[in-house]
Amino acid sequence: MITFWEVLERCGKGQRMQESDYDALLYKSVSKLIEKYDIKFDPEQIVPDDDSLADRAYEAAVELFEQVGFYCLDTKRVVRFIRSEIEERVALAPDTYTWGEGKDRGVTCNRKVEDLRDPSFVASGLGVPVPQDMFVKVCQAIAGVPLADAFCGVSLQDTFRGIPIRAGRPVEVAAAIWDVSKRREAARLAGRPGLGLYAMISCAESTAAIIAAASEQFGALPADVTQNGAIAELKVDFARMNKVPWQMESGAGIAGLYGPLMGGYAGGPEGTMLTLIAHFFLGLFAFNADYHIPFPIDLHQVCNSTSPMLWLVSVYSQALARNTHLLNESVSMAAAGPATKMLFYELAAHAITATVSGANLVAAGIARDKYPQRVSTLEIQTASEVGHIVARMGMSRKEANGLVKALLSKYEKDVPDAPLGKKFSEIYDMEKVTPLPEYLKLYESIREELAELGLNYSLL
Amino acid sequence: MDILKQMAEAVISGDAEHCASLAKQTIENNLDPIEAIQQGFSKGMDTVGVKFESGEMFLPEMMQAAEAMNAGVAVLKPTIESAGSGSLTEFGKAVLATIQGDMHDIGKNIVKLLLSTSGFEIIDLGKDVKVELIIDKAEEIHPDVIGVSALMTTTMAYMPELVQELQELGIKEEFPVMVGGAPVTEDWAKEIGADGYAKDAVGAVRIAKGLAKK
Repeated sequence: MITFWEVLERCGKGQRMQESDYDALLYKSVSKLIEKYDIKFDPEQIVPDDDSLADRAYEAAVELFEQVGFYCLDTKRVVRFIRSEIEERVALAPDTYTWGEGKDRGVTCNRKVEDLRDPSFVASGLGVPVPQDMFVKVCQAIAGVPLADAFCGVSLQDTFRGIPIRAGRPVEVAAAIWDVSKRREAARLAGRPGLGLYAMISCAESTAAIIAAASEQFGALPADVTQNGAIAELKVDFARMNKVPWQMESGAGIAGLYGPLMGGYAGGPEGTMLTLIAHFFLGLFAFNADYHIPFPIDLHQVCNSTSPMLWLVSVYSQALARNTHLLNESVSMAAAGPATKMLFYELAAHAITATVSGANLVAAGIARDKYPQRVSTLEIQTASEVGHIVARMGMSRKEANGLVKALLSKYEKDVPDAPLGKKFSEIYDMEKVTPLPEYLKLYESIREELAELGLNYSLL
Repeated sequence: MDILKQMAEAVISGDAEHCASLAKQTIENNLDPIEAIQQGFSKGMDTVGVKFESGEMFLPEMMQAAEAMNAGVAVLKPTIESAGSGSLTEFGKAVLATIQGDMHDIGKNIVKLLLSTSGFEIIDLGKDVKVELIIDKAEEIHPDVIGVSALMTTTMAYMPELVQELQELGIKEEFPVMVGGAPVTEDWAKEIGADGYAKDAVGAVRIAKGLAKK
């Protein structure tokens, strides 16, 4: 198997190329492969039940990765792999990962298309900025989502101890240590002290801060996970790869984080879908990833709840589920904000699409993941429930397609001007850390609506 | 179809050869090269920008359109310069950077593409650019606007530092700053004292033009 060290050597030996030429090479390659493998987005088939399409997509993605590999920004070189190397690396990748410990431990495993097994579920508010004085309460609410197998808190907003948190500064290290310890405290307060962290720190970008904070003395559990993010599209740098030797030798879990941008260098949904699959290979080679966290985003709408994006989620997930045993933790990125019907619909549509297509679930990026305090949990809980019901019902892709289209008809036209919704403090009792009655009522009414659409809630 | 419309169409279809050929015709027929750029190629690029923002065109196609326009402009440039009849960069200079600590520069690159075809001379400092370097470059070349992008909340935090440094140096009024990127909001941009914010690249062009004219 090609080891991380061999990959590092190739970073210094691959074909030298300007970054802009690499971007052009990617588009040229995906354009040809889409045509060669006859891959086309069909707005009527958001969740296609065409095994051949999924297999063609996988073949095309392997060929794409053979052609373009990944790009090392530091050495300006293209790092390529031949098919047998890709196949071997994929074959030797983990097919399960266990988060947390004790009665709170959660397991994620490779799922198949229309799998009857529950998807693993990660409750997440990653990316949403929350001020220091609310941080623990919001994380506690997220850790308390009943079906969560692991969790991730929110992001610390702007300052720590009143000092702006800036990447590469001492305050980033201090904030990262505080972040880990408070997430663990939040899990305890939620009554789930052993619940795993699927992404340990969100207020730190630098490797130094992450390594400093990801320690048991600050509350991290041995299997808690640190993420290594690729740069769109198919690019890495040594600053990110620097974490890998520490991750490998410390035994820390490694998650590959990929956010290809639909409408960007890879073109439309078809090209972006192939590029996303290729990112899984990048994650294995460049990051030694145990599991994979894909969050494809529409470049303009900054979400993945539109028809082309859900199609992309379905096809890449089916391609990987049918052809590999890789761990695919599919992230929903919603346009609408908390306590809006639209957010419930968006997350339900993603949960149905991803679950039936063979993915596990991570929910959610809310309100395009950028507005302070726009985070909530009953919508996340709904996504977890929907995912479990879909699996337990043995829902087919065809049935899922009908359901997802019904949901899309309720919200898709509103995506460009999606409502911002309410702040966490407006929908929660901040003393008890429980949802306010009106918000609970909304959740219950959505449950009824989803049940009327055909989801069997008695299976929970 | 008149030549200006043909120029716009050639840009939209990303046909560099046709753009160059139409530019040659402009010179041969003694037409105004500045008008050809502003009413021909740039109009095409405006359409491309709108199509890009609406999802009808993708970034590589927009890059191809920009290359096509540049091929046409390259043919016209010597004539414009020898006549001294106008400027290809009517809005002046824009310094662009993805801020310190941040390697995600796709947004900045899209803005660069549209600004460069909208009458700006671009000085692209790249990604992970230190605040001090942006200020040094501004003092050196006196841009009409500074544009900075960020994708991470921890790197976005360098944007207020840039604004504050410019204020402390007493040159903030001289160099308007516009900010953008996934985690940046309009409210936050106002809060830190930035002069402009745009949620997308087409909006950034509009803001930059407004700031440069001031």
